[in-house]
Parts: sequence; C-alpha cells; structure tokens
Amino acid sequence: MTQENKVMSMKDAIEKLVNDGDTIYLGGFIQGEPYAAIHEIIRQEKRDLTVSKAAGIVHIDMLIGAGCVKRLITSYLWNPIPKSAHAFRRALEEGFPHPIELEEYPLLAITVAYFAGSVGLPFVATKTMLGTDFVRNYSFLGEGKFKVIESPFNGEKVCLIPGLKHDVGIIQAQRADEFGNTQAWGLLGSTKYGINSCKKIIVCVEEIVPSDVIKKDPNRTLVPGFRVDAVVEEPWGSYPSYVQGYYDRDFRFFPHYERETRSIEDFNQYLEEWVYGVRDRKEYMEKIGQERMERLRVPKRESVPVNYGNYADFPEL
Amino acid sequence: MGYSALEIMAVAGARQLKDGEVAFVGTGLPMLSAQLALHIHAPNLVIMYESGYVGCRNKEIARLIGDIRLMYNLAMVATMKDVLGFLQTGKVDVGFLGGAQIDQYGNINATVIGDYKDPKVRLPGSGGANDIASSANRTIITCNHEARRFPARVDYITSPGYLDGKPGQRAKVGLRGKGPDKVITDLAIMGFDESTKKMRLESIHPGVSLEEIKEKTGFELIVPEEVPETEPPTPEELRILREEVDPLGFYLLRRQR
Repeated sequence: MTQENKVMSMKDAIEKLVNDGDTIYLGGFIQGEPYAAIHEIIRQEKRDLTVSKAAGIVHIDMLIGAGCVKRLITSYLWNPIPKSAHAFRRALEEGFPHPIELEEYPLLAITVAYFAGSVGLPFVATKTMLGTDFVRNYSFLGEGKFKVIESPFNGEKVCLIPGLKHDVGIIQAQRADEFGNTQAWGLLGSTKYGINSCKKIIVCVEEIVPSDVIKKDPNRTLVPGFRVDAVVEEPWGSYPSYVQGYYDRDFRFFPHYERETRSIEDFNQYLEEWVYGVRDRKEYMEKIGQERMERLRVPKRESVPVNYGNYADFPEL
Repeated sequence: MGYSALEIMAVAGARQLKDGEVAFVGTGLPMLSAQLALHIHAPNLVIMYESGYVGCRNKEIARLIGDIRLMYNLAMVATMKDVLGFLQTGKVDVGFLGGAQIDQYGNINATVIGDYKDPKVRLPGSGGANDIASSANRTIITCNHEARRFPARVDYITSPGYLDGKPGQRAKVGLRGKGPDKVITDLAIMGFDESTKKMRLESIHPGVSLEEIKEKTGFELIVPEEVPETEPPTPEELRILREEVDPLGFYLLRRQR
C-alpha cells in the first residue's frame, strides 16, 4: 500500500482545508485544545463558521470575538477561573461583533451525538435533557435538534439526538507519523467520536514520529492515517492548555485573558498583539518566553510497556 | 475553632458522601467535599468527573475537572461516552453539583438570566450538569444563599430537580435518577418534602438566624417546628481540609478575598 506524506504547515492546512461557511469540529477537553489552529483561523479571517465543540473555554471565545463564528454547538462556554467569557457574552447579549446562533446540548449528550455521527447513525437515544428547558428551546437545528419519544421496545421515554457530522475537524494530539496515524493519551473526552464524524481531518501534533513508533502501540491510535488530510507538527500547539507528558496548563493565562478582553477595544487590542501580531505558533511561543515554557514543561513519568507478543515468529498452527 | 462559610459548606458536603459510594463530582466546592470525605470517613469513595477521570486518588487538589493533576494515581481515563454510561446504567450513587440559581423544587439554572432568546445575562450552560442531575441516583447541590439565587421559579431549567413538583414527575418524563436530596448553602442545609417535593429546612448553621434564611430565600421554605443547628466542623475536619486537602488555599482562600 502506498501512503501519502501529509505533512504541511499550519498556514497551508487551514488555507487548504477550512472554507468560509464550513461546519468545523474542534477536539480536546481541557487537554489538547487546538489553540494554534484557532489562532491561524483567526489570522486567515475565516467567516460564517459553524463551530462544534463539546465544551468551550477561551479559545471559542476568541473565535467568536474575532468574528469567525456564525453558529455554535456546545454544552458550555466560560473562562474557567471562573469568570465570564466576555466575547461570548457580548455576542449573545449585545449581538457584537454580530449575533451568533447557539444550539446547546448537555456535555455527555453531545458526546453521543458525535458518536452517532462517527458510526453513521442518524440519531442516538439518551436519557438526558428530559423534562428540562433543553427540550423546549430550538435554535438553528430547529426540529432537528431532538425528539422525545417512547421507546418502541418498552415504552420508556427517551430523547433522540441526531448524529452530528462536520465538514472538517481539527485536533491537537501528542504524536503522529507523516501519514497521519495519530496517537493521543491522557484526557480524551469525546475527541475520538468527534474527529471521526468529520469529512476532512487536520491533526496537529507535538511531534512527528517514525511509523514504527506508532505501530509498536496501535491501541493508542485515535485516528488512522487513511482518514487524515493534513499533519501539522506544532509543538506547544495547545498552550495555554496542556498536553499530557509535554507541558502543563498555564494557570496565569486565563485571568490575564479575562482582564484584557473586558471591553471591545481591549479585546481587539489583545488579538492585535497576540494573534494578528505574530506570524505563527513559533513566534507566539517566543513571545510567551523561554522562562514560562520551562516552568510548564513536565518531568518524565513513563508507563510500563505492555507485551503485545511477537507473532511474527509464531509458527502457523 | 473558627471557620469560614466555605469551610462549613465543604464539611457539610463531605458528610453527605458515604464510604464505598460512587460519586460524580462537579467543579468547585464539590471537589473540596469529595476530597475531604476521602481523607476522613470515606476512603473507598469512587470519585469520577465528567472529563473522564474515574477512581481519583490525586495528591494535589484539582483546579478544574479537567486538571492534569487528577491523572496522578488514577484508576481509569474514560471517554465521556463511558462516564455517561456509568450514569445511565445507574452505577452512580450520588451526583454533586454547584448551581447559579435553584428553585423550590431543586431545579438548577446555569444557562441564562432573563429570556433565553434575549438574555439579560448569559451564563456558561450545562456542561455535564444536566446529565448528572438526570441520572445519578441522588444529587446534592451547593449554592450561596441569596434571594436572587433562590427564586420560586428559575429562568431556565438547565438541570432537572423535581420539575413542577407533581408526584412522580421525574419518572413520568423519563428520568432515571431520584432527584435532589440535599441543598447545602453558607447558611443552612435543606432537603425536600416527601409529598410536595418542595424545599424544606433541615438544619441552620451556627450563628445564622431563621429570619436571615427566610429573607434570603425567594420562595416559601418549609420550616419544621424544630430545626436543629448544623453540627459545626470539628477541629480534625478543619485541620485535614486546610492542611491536606487544600494547603495552598486554592479554593479556601479565593472565595474570601
């Protein structure tokens, strides 16, 4: 089988694979939030995106404030310190920079909606949302948001949620080979289902490794190479969030972002300085500084290797 | 020994968790309570978070439910689909949640103040709170006691309590969990009346008056003839809370500032 080398720069990956008006899935839950990719989307001024994210922290707030988002599907959006996500609130309360449409599901329900999308099912049945305002309010999905029915098997009330599918998905993971076989560990949230419900996939990784490394531990593979369109080597791509084994979350970042984005002018100034004002992630991390990066780097703690068994030399029975 | 309002809340919350139970814990104060219970009387408590951490025995207190510190000494990293599975198959004894607004039937609002379509104040939204309140066998809710946080009806039901309070309403709409069991505030502990499902005062924290509680509750709370005082935190509970659970004061000092 011939395999295609899919390695490209972040700039090229976003330019080539993310179009105005796309429905885009963003992976990660606290760990592995694709900040580098989000900054690049903002720099390239993508517009009218429908953004789908299990739960959003300030990266989604940035996208909204930068004017990239038309519609949002999520369970939660806040600055986790905890304080308001100001751009999100401005969009919903004041319609600035423009009104956005929000479709909400509870976190674990959105996860199974991704799951349904990833296995090609039109819907999945859940036992959440029932009796609450989740089943009284519709946004852009309209009647396609949910349906409460009695199970045809035992009459039990269930809430059906349609499978969510996306034009393009972006994740930040630990490692991939150049063909796109991507491995991740630590907190994985609903990323496995979200990313496999996407037509096109961009994987951003802390490092590109030889295929041999992947193939020694295939249980850890989140997305197989044949599903992937672009591999971007982007160290520190999740900063200020974390990547297990590489760096910790920068707890100083979030109060800073909160303070610096309270007004529209401040928010725009923030983007000028930290997003438009830098060319790429490398330049951004230089601006963050070596000292900060050293503090966030994590010492090693390795797992015990598992024994897969050497079946290459196993005699045929 | 003196203690803060947050400390008595954390201790009261911890006492609600029994050894050997499976607890699904929300962010903030519930984390303190769960960690304290583990140290004091519930060494076999199974703690899980919506982020996917299951069987937590972390050394340092976590700063959010997705904190990398929870990975230390951990039994399982589950996907969110797996943790929903634990809830929906009835394996979770107790869900422990914070709330922005809570009504007399224990319904929680974490979504919006004002009209949903034209919000006065937009709040974060559910996260996993709705899933937990729907399916945990019972729930404990913690919230600061202020009139605006205790309205007769919440502006939006994010997480289900007893809904409109009609008998059997939760089961009727298809919810599997039994619903809210206790509400713990900085002033009191409350439960729910068996038949009306309305919130009922169970104990008043030391130094708090019934008048203050009534004044800061936006609906008519059921007050039994005799209301005992909440047992204050013991010196040992306070020592463990301050020295072992949150020695850096990440939670304990933040609220007081």
